[in-house]
Amino acid sequence: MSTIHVPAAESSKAKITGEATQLAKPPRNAHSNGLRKILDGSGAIILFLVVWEVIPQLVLAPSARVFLPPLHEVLGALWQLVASGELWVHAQASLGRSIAGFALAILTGVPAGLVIAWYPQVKNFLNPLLEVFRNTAALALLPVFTLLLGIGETSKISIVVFAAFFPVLLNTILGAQSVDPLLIRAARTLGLTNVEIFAKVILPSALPTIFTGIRMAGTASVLVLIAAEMIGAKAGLGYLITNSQASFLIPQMYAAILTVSILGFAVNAGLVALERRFSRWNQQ
Amino acid sequence: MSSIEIQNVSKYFQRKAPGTTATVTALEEVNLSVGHGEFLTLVGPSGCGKSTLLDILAGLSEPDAGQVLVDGEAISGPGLERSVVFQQYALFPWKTAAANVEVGLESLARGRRDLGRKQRRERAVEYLRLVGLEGFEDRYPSELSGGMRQRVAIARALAHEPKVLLMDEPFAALDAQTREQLQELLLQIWKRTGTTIIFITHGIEEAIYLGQRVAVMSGRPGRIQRIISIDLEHRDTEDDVRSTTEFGRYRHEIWNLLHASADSIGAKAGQPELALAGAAA
Ligand SMILES: Nc1ncnc2c1ncn2[C@@H]1O[C@H](COP(=O)(O)OP(=O)(O)OP(=O)(O)O)[C@@H](O)[C@H]1O
Ligand SMILES: [Mg+2]
Repeated sequence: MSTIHVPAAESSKAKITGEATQLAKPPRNAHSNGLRKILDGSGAIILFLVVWEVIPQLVLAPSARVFLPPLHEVLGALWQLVASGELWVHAQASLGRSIAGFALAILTGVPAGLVIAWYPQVKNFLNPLLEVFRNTAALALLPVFTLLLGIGETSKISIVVFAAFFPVLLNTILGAQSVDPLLIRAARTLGLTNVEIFAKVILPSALPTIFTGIRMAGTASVLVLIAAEMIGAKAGLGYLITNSQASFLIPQMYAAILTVSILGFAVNAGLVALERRFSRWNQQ
Repeated sequence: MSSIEIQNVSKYFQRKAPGTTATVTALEEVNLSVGHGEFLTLVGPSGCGKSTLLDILAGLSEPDAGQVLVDGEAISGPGLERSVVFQQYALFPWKTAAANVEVGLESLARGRRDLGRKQRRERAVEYLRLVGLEGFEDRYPSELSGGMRQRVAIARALAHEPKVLLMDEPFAALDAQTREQLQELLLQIWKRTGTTIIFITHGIEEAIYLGQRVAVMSGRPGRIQRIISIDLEHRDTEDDVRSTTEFGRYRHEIWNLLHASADSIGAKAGQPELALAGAAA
């Protein structure tokens, strides 16, 4: 850590201990209701961060502290990664791959799922195979992807597609099958053609279930990608983690890990928000 | 405003039990004609084939024998000139009230220039007003009460101006007060539009109150047992027509018919208490 970053780290430390004092004092007036809400929602996280900051400094021997640096050192490293633009390079690489793979999985998984659900024979025929694929951990296939497609972008995007495809496909089938048959009957009496029934009845009523699949796929695609990048890549957050470790830049390694969990969290929150927006009718 | 001829309609279902398949005769040689603009109600014991018959009229299923003519033409499949109102509303939950009403209009607009997005919306608003739901256009079904949902379903069934309205126990899931309001509303709409209505119900009083004629079905196999013309003299003058003696006479007559047929079904099935749910109420 260069000394330039110490003030920033110090100030963030001060901020966190300040919040810790608030945590100990239960809010008394109506004014602090907002604060209480924040504490209710993220109290455990704040507590965790405090423990992370305090334990290495107070409990660990300096030799061990090297392997588990306090939070402010990690944040300092994170800041340095941001300032140098290095973090963005790696995040961009990871985001590009996961968005490409994720999008491909949705674009193929949703239509395939709708078609499979429409033809029960196809579904019955394919179902056992789909179950086998779904229960095959994508990471177990990583060596296969590497063998067949090398360690370039293609193999990484492919494994993201693989990991994201099955949750999307299976949930689309599930959603399309659970459409209330009465709605289809109503649609037919209202003059809808088969194609229209697909687009205007089956797809919308399957949408909440499809979104569950998309959310699962989002989590899976980040997870698998990071692992793939850890094994063989020249850029990406997974690469940043292993590379930092290999270069003994321990705070930077934690900074990269922190970024991955923030990214995963953001992906999930974004998808939940999207889901809310598309299923406003389904709120109750 | 169409006439309907049901000619020798039979319908069988295969019921697969492990090992064997039994054939259930849901309808046998059903004949019934409904005049232009008539309001016909249909009562019968549970399982006698009322919904099966309505499905055939709607074009959602085909008879195994016989045919159905609407204005002299045999029907094939569903058509916009025949609308259906289901007991369970069958609204699209992801569409607002107005958007639900517009569904049939969108089909109607195919190949027509004079029914653009704006006109469809106007028509939907107009029909929602007709059923007393002004100001509820943008509510989702989950934000409406059961009675309001059924009003939306009625508006949706009427908005594309069908000639025939088919209703399968549309008010059965509603409380008594809401049901009476909707019966009143339906009569008003019928008088105003002149739509031919076939209305299935379990309620004898509802059948007499709404119908110009009541068709009484018997079960196993399903048949039209009797058709009773309802002639309530004091219908428009009397406040509570349901408590008049003539109304009571009709109720008694139909009650007897239903019980006679229920007893015979019970004897056949070996269960004398066979459900005639709601019919006696
Ligand atoms: N899809 C089906 N497969 C097999 N049997 C059926 C099917 N649909 C109806 N049935 C049988 O046909 C008969 C008539 O059923 P239907 O639903 O028309 O009765 P219903 O008069 O509408 O009864 P309810 O008053 O309870 O609604 C019943 O014996 C029923 O079990
Ligand atoms: Mg029925």
